[in-house]
Amino acid sequence: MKEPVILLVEDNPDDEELTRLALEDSNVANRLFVVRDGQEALDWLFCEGVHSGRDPCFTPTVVLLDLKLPKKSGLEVLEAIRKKEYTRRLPVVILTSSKEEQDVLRGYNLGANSYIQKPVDYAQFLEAIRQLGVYWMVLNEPPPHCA
Amino acid sequence: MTSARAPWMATATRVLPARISSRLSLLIGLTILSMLLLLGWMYHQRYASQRSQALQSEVEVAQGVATTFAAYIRDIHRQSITLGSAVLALSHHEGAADRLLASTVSHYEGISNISWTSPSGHVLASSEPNAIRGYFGDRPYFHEVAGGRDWAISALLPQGRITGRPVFVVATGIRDKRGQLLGLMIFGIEPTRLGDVLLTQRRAEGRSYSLFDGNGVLVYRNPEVDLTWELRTGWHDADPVMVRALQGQPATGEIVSIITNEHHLAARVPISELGWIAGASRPVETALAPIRHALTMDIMLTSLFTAISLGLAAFIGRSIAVPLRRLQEDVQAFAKGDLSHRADVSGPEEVIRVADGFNRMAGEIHTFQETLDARVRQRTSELETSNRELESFSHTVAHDLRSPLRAMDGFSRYLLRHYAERLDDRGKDYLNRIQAAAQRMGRLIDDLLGMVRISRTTIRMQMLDLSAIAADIVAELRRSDPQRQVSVEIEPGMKAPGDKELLRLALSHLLENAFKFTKNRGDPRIRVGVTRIKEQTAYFVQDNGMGFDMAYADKLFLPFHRLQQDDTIPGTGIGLAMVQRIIARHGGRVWTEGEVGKGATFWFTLGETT
Repeated sequence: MKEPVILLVEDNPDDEELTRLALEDSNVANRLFVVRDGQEALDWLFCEGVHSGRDPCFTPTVVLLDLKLPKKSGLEVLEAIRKKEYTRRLPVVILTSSKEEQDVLRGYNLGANSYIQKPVDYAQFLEAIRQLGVYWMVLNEPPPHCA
Repeated sequence: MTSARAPWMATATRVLPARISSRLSLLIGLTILSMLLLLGWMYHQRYASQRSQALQSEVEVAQGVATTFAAYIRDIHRQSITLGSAVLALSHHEGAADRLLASTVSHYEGISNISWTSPSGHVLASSEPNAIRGYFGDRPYFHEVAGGRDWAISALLPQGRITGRPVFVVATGIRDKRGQLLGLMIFGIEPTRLGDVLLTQRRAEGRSYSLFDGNGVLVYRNPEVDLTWELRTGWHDADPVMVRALQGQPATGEIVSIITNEHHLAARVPISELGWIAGASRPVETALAPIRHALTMDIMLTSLFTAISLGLAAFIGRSIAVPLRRLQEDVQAFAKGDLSHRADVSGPEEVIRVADGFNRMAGEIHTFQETLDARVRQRTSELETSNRELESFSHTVAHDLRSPLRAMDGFSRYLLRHYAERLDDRGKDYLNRIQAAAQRMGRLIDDLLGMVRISRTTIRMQMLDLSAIAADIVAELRRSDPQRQVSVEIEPGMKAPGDKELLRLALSHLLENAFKFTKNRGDPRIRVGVTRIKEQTAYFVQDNGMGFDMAYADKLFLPFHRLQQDDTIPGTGIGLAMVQRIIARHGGRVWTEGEVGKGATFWFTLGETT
């Protein structure tokens, strides 16, 4: 069985750290990869640019995607993921501060698997990340990949 | 600007039809009607005068007949006297008198027989041999003459004693110088033979003339027809004109001939010395044919001219009414909103002027409207731009302001959890404060975004049951705090048009407030109802909670403004500001009344126009 891996696309180091702490607390992620802008996220996933040497069969179990990102926005990243054949079925969870109806709609229209607004209250945030980890890392059966 | 109107205008409006075309029709109709009435009266006069002329000419003919016949009878009377002297002279010659009489008869027009009688009525001599020794002494005319008259005329007898045919008699007494009656000369006259006597009369087309005896029995008629006795005697019942003439005066009138069954214009004239009647008549058809023909021509011509006048009048009427109606339609089209519509400038001068004036006015309105539209479009586009900017701003606020808060909250918690043993109580307190402040700011941001959203949302109006919505909100509030006992009274059947989401939000803020501020009351009571204030429907939410000082009433609706410093009552101070925006978006107004410790009432109206 493959090692469960999370790709976190997050430009805010505070949120990165908070997410990392939350995941540690809930003991679901052995490994957390973090990329800090949209372009890097695509490079990482498609093994391009600085990540060109990476094994393409090494794919994350789930991508936690922020929307407001430097270079390329989260929605652009999502669109590109859904276009590429071998990332088409990759579970992508939008994790963002925005709960604007427009963002939610566009996220789902582009094929997001889930949309979660980061709660302001840290306790709620912690609980949200915990449930999210349990669901996607443990309960959810990921699509077959590079079998 | 008002102009004085004559009082007759009001009467005209009440009495006359409303439409111009109807009034014109009425005008034309009345003009032609009066013309036709006048013509009708003139025709009637002409007809009547023609008729009386025709009757007059019948009177003249009848008088001619009367004169002729009277002369004939007088002539017979004179002949009788002459014959009487001759017969007396011949009395000693057997048969000579008879021969004289027979010879006279043959030379005398219309005479059937002549007889000579003794003063006692015995026939002594006659033109008819079989009459000799006859007796006339029983005849009325005999008695008249025997009684002293010079002569007498009999009525028409159905059967003469001598001829067996209808006959009348003229008897003349022959007297000596002392007046002693010597005998009677009796002329028997058969009416059929009178034609020659009376033919002196002019015969107009269809005219007939006639003689009636003193009993009204038809003696003679020309043209001659076979007359039964019934046809002779029936006139007394059928000819009222003749009956009138029997009274002694000439008479005229219309009769129905019992011979031809035609209507006749008849004149009957008494022949005074005989007591008989002379008559003349013509069929109405022939007598009045010329005038009828002339009138028919006149009426046809009149009708033709009337029709032409009507046609012309209708044409002229239309030339007035049609442009007016078109102008009315044009004005209506413009009034219905087609601002580019212009009136057709044609028709009578006044209409042209009105249409012209209207078009100028319409042009100005149109230009004004277009300017206004352009201005509205410009403002709308400006508003849309500013809305988009606001939207993007609120998006930024939503996203960017939250992240630092979460970091503050998260790291302070993490510190409290994992580094608690290294902090003293003061440090822990500060961390708690950081945390509380962060949470509070998060709520402020949420509320602020909510306010922005109210302004942005398009309003969807529908009929709402405010009572049901309020009841629903109250049920929700009760569920969220099952321990609390609050008496809530909602007036049933409150219905108003509005946006469901927004009004629900407004009501829920007001009810939440009412719940919140009655928290410290022993007997919390809340009322939701409706009333009329200054001609407007005003809804209210009333509580008996802690109330407020009216001096600050206006500040209540400012965003983030809280009157109470009581931390036990939660809230960001945004609720009433939201209520005010929602009500304003419905075109209504919100205000409040309150007293510290007694409670507060929040009133709102909804735009009455929607």
